[in-house]
Amino acid sequence: MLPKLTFYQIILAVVAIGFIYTGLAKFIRKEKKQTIIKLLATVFIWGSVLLFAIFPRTPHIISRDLGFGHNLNTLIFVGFVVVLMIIFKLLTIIERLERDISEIVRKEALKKLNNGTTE
Amino acid sequence: MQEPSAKKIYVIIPVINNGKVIQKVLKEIKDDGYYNIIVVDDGSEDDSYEKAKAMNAIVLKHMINRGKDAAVKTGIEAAKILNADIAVTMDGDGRHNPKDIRQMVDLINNGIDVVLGSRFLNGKEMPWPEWLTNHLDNFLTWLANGLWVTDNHSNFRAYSKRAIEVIYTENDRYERDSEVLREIHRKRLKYWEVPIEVRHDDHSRSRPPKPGLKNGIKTMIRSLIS
Repeated sequence: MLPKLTFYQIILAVVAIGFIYTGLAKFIRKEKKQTIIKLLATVFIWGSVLLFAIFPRTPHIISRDLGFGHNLNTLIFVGFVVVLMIIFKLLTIIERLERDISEIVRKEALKKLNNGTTE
Repeated sequence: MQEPSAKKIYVIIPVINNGKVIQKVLKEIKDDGYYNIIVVDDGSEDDSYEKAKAMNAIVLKHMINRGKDAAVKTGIEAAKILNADIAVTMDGDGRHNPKDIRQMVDLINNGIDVVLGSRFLNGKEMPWPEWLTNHLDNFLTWLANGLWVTDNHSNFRAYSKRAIEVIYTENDRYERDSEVLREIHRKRLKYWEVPIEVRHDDHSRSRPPKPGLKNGIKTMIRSLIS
């Protein structure tokens, strides 16, 4: 039986379902960038959002069972997660920049061939 | 000597500071009948570019160093532009023997898409630490790319026209070799491994070794998340 939902809970649930659906669709379409790991991560993260949106008491139960009863512990844990996410994001950006640099260097090196000369 | 087939074969050689040996390497390749040579100078600080140019090779220059794999990719792109039927990639320090090209070309002519040179198929025994590292590396590569090969970091390879067109790689530094395996698996290309000779002289010994196992782990993680 579904609990009575507020407007914000419904919005959050719809957004989460949207992300899960998009992730699944990408995987079914075998899009190059959509790996099983990314799909699982999407389902896990947005599935959690969906769960917490519909059943808001779930985080309290999990938090209590995992020993995050004290606010400070939860704060440190969340802090670690955020820092890791930032590092991951930065690495992705650096990698993309590296690739872009290589592409520019490659285009420059191939310029004369594209102009029809090998000299 | 005549070129072994009527097809347009391009030999691609990435170089960085190989000025001491590049002319010898190019001469050897030409002596074996392969005249279409693309040298990609990956930001050398010595006279590699001028020396390769003097040997009438097609020499392309990266204005800054981007890594061996980036140079190989530039060579492959050049082969595409030049409408190559077969592209052979090999190292520019003389460790690969151009005599091995013939068997690779023959296999491509017989319908194979990618021929992979293997240092470990020549029947020679290797020390156990090297054997273990290599097998662990091969295992990780198999896990990430779905393809079991005996030598996943050899740059001595030959590609058919189809392989040249469809193989897509993105990484610049010593990861292309493994990425190619992933592409062979994903695009269902026909492949074959052949034993190759690896020669070691003072120059090749002075080159930094390829990061084998470390690279295997990196490639596996990258394959899983990207």
